[in-house]
Amino acid sequence: MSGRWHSTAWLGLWIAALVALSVVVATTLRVSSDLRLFLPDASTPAQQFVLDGIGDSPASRLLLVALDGGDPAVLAELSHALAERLRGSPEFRQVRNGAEQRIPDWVTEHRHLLTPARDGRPFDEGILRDALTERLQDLASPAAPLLESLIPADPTLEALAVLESWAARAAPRSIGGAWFDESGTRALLAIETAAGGFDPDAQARAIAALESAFESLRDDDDFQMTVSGPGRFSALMKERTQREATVLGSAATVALLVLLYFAYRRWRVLLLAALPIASAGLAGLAMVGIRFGEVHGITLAFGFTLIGVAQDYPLHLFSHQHRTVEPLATARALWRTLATGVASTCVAYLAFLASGVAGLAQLAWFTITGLLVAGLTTRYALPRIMGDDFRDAAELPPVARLDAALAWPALRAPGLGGAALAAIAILLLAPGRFWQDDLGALTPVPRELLAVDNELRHAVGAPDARYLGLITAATPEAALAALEAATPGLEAQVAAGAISQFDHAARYLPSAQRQRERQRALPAPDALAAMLAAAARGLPYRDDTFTPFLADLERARTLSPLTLDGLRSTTEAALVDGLLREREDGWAATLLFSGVIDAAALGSWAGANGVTVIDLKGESAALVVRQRERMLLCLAAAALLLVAVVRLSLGSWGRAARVLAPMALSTLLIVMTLRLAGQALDLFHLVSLVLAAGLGLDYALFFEHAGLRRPERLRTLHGVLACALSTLMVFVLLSFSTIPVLRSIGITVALGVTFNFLLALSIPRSAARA
Amino acid sequence: MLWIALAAAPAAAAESRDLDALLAALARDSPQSIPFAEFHASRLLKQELIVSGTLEYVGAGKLARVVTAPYQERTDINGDEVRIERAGRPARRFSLARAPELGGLLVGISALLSGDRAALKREFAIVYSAAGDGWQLELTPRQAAAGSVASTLRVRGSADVPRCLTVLRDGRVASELLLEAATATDLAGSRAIHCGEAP
Repeated sequence: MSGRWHSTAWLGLWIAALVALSVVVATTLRVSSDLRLFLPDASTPAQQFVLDGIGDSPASRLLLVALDGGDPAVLAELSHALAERLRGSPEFRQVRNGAEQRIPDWVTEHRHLLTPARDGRPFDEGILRDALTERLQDLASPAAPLLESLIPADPTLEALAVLESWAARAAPRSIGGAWFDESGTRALLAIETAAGGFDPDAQARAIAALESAFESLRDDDDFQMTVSGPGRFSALMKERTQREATVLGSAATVALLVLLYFAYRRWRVLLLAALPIASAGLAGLAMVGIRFGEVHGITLAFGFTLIGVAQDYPLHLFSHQHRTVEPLATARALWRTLATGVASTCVAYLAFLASGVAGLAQLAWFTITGLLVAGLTTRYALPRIMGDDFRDAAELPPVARLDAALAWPALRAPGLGGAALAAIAILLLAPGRFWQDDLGALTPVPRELLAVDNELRHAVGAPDARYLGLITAATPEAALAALEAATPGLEAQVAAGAISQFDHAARYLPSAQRQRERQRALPAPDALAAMLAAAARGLPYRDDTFTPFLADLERARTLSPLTLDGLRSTTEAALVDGLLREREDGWAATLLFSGVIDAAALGSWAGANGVTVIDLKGESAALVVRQRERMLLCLAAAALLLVAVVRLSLGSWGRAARVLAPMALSTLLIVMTLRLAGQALDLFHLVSLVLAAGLGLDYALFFEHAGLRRPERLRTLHGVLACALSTLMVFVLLSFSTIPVLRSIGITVALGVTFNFLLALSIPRSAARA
Repeated sequence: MLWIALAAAPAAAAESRDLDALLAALARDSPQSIPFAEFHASRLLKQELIVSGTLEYVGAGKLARVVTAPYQERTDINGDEVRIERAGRPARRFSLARAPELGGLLVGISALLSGDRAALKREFAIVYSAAGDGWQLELTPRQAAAGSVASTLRVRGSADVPRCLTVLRDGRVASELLLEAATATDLAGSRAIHCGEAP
């Protein structure tokens, strides 16, 4: 009676602790979705720039929209209506669809300071005479209605010269004032979102706003809208990952419950088996919450995958429990083996702490805390509430039959060594790349969507996504001056055909110094009036036509130069956003290149002119390589620690070798199989190999602990089999995922469970032989 | 003189030929090259500007206005796009959908020559009047772009030939296109005959 009361009290206490932990987690932990957390830290300024830029560069914020399914003229109207609607929405910073730009007031006001047209060609009689003559031709042309109102204040059309200098990039084909692709069937819009490209939640909101605007405007079901770009992909990826995780997770849970009932025939086991893992998850989350304040979505997904190994701990306990012993005694008997498994797995995850990747460090804290809690609760709490009336696995006929069928011969050193050598030879010689260095290969975005994105990007003339230039300076003014100094060289690169176009902040915002130079070159009022009178002589203008021009020019002589803050307060702030950014150590100005044809020529020009040219593809590959090298180093250190833990726990090198050999061989076999299947290895394979090794080590430790003693051996076989089958089910399900990351993990761990289980079966006989 | 009479008795006089028949007769299947002279008034100017050259009608929606005197300039209308090019200068491009007032004369003449009556009636409210051989069309765009100046296009002609197109903005003559005006010597006289009273 008192035993029953005790176990109920323990259960109540445990559940209360779980509830308290959930409250802590729910109130302290924010879930973040910033992918940068999972990128390595930078070792060079170029890499730092790549990392800063990811998710924040104009390119990553760019959504490309194509409208089709109608007459071009109607699509053009739809494009204008959509652009108009989106311009009023807070989700978007800039919407471009090819509509003629209205001249912004600040451009009109500062035109004499912004225009490049007067550099080296200051106002004089000849220039004014040419301009006035040309304006007469404009007044007799179809453009007259547009230009007539501009001419009195701006006879040289400096404001238009400013806009034209911005629009130097090749524009797509125009129909009805809207951008179209070459075939003239799809209207194109380039939209910059307010949120970064890798903020999937904000991107999903922006895309929803875009779609609802489109739905409210389209009056014909034939109209179709295609949205592409990094933001669309990150929203799609998140949605898809969530959907697949839900489906696969539910399937795995059901399968697990069925398997548990089948293995133990006690309903209560379903709850009991869930307690340590639930405690592990909550404790892990609470630890991450205390340590970091937020948890990344990927940490959650990976973390719960990785602490899946803790699901095995209660199963070993259940399989060894039978009526003749107290559960606490069973737990005590298993503890040394279980603790060795927990400690060695935790040691392996320590490698993640040293990887230099914030996301992986979170993962390590989560996993280590979770595994420790699962181990300790399985040892000290679970035995007090589980009851002792379990079937003795040693007396189950199917287990005995299986034991007879799986009576593997002992593995001998020559056999093991030979197999390992063969596996190493095959994994080294198999064709195909060994490592996956392309971050892009991990994207879950279907290839056809990437192809559409490429095509739209090309059609809109979006800048090259691979090469960027970088100039750093202490102040925005110095950065702008440096950009201006670099411009003649860039123009020479365009002329030489190395690049087709370039863009930078100083094209929109000249340095204050440059603006003052232009100001100084403006003629004094009297001189200008005399020039103008001489220039207009004999032309049919009314005498007072250009009074506004004289007044504006006089005002321009004392105007304060346009500043970065001034430009940022206008509706055109997006022009320099992302091109000129403040950093911890100063200001960074970005140079965008389009159509890079001769990267070597560009690079050597840049090197001689204080411009860093960044090959984004090369740098991100270098980052991946660097991350992997550190990871491998950490894993090597972890492997040594793991060997030490196992050796310490088992007390002899012979026993340690027996336990570690199947795991090591399994790891080689997994890599070999992946290589034969043509898979290039990535970070997620490495993480999965660690998980597989942790699982294999547990199997081996339990088999080694049992040895050939018959009832123990059968109970161990039952336990390990329940563990292996449940894990296998979960990861086989994951390997059916369409998301490359989940599939990498699924396949690797499923292979690992299989190899490790089969090889670990030989351990009892190896032990006996020794 | 003739036009004053016409204006006094518009609809009743339009018995001689109905609008559809006139529009059908104005249409041209083959490419045309039509000499023209154009008069432009502006509030910035003390006197009108006069340019001359040829209109090259290529086919549906495609028209070039080639100015040869007093300077060289070429304007192409292709569907919705207007492109103006002068020797030694980068071309300017405009879209008619965004600035319909730019099309003015050229859109009108292009529409008449292409003979797409349905499109013409869809785009413009048409007031038609005729007397004997002479006729007049007043075309008012049904959809003026927001903010653009309301303008009416007046076309006058005789038999199957349009002779004069006038853009009236706020009731004033903004520009006038005199077709088939071969020589400059009697330009004023021929304008008076074909376009009516000089403004």
